[in-house]
Amino acid sequence: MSERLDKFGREYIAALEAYLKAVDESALSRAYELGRRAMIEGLGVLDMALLHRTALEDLVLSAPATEQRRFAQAAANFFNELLSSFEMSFRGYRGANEELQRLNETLRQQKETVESANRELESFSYSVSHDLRAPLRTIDGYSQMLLEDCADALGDEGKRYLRHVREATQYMTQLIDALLSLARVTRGEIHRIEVDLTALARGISERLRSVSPGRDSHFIINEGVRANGDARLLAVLLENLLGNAWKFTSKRTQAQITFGCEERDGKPTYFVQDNGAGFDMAFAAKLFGPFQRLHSLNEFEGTGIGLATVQRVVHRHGGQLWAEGKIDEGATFFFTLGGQNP
Amino acid sequence: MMDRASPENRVCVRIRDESDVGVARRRSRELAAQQGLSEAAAEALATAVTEIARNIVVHAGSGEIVFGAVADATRQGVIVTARDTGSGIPDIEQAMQDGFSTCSGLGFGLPGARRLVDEFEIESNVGTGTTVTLRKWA
Repeated sequence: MSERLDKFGREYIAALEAYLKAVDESALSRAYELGRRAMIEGLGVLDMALLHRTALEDLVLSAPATEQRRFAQAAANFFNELLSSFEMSFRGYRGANEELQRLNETLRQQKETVESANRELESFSYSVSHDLRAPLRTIDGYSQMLLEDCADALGDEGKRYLRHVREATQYMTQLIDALLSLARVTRGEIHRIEVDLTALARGISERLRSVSPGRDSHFIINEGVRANGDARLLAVLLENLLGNAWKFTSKRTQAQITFGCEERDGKPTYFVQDNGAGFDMAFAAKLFGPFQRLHSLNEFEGTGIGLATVQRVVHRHGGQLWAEGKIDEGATFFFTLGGQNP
Repeated sequence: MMDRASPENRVCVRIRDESDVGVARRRSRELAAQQGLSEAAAEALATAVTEIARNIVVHAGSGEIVFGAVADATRQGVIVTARDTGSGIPDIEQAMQDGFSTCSGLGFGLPGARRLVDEFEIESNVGTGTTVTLRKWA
């Protein structure tokens, strides 16, 4: 018997003894008070049964035979009283449990409604983005034909205007592609496997370098970085983060971009660090919203959807994404990928 | 048929400290036996009365509990009315939820009392005090 229970047992025996001597209500309410206190102290019904048995052995069985019957009855009353507060509490738990079940059911229904609305919205935005691409291709195609085949009729002014039309259509195509990519990241099941992030990052860095071979850039990609996640989504994530780092270091004489993994709070934390334009931490919260851009299009091109896509990938893995940066001193993006089964 | 409480059966117990709680419990049991409540029902009522009486001692300081017999066309029972002239309860709905008392979450106090009886009413005005009415049928 634990010390606490032991002390409680002595009090119980003393109270029962007093009650057996003078069967009255205030002696009985002692049992109630003890039961109430037992509950608050976290003792259980079986503890009470044990106490009572010990008390019976001490008081009733040792009593004279003539008294035993009366004592047994009184002790039963006393025990009943001890358990009353447990009964009251039990009713409370049962009531609370029913309420909890009801609330859970409401929550489940609401979740279902939200999920189905989300699915509808996703498939709507997917098909809209998809259908918008065809007319854009037509506009761009005919603009190009006009520029090539009717150059003489257009004059310099006309050609300049048409070039703006083409730039705008191409930017819009990029936006739509980014939206489609965002939608794709949201759709479909996640298939977690062991992914070699070092190899992925290396491939992406080579492709980025081949696009502008003239740039003086230095990629530091840590060896042996692996993650458990969806290979397709993790590729989208790294393309966006490394692509961003590449873009925002374009004005540096020597760009330095690091990819690696370190342990933070016991969790593998991946990061992409650059020495580029950075950002003002005051706007850190805005970084990951779709169409949020902290730089003007003139400074750095972009759709404002990349980091929103990254965030979705991370959230779908049950992980977290955050960023640290300073204007003109570069930025670091950190992410975790949650457990095996988020 | 309307509730009728026979005045000759009404007993008033003044509640000022812990020792009065025992008196209230005894009255509750006597009346319960007289009205034919089962032992379990009588025990539940006594427990509810204990919680109400404790509430008066702890929160209002003093008050009274009136016990009466009650009957309608088909059954008889006990009606208990507890009154205090304490500061009253500003938010009854909150007071009736578990987890707002000092013994947070164990289902004691007013919410506990409510679950032990058949009917429970509470009226409270800030400044003038609280009245709780319980009914337990046989």
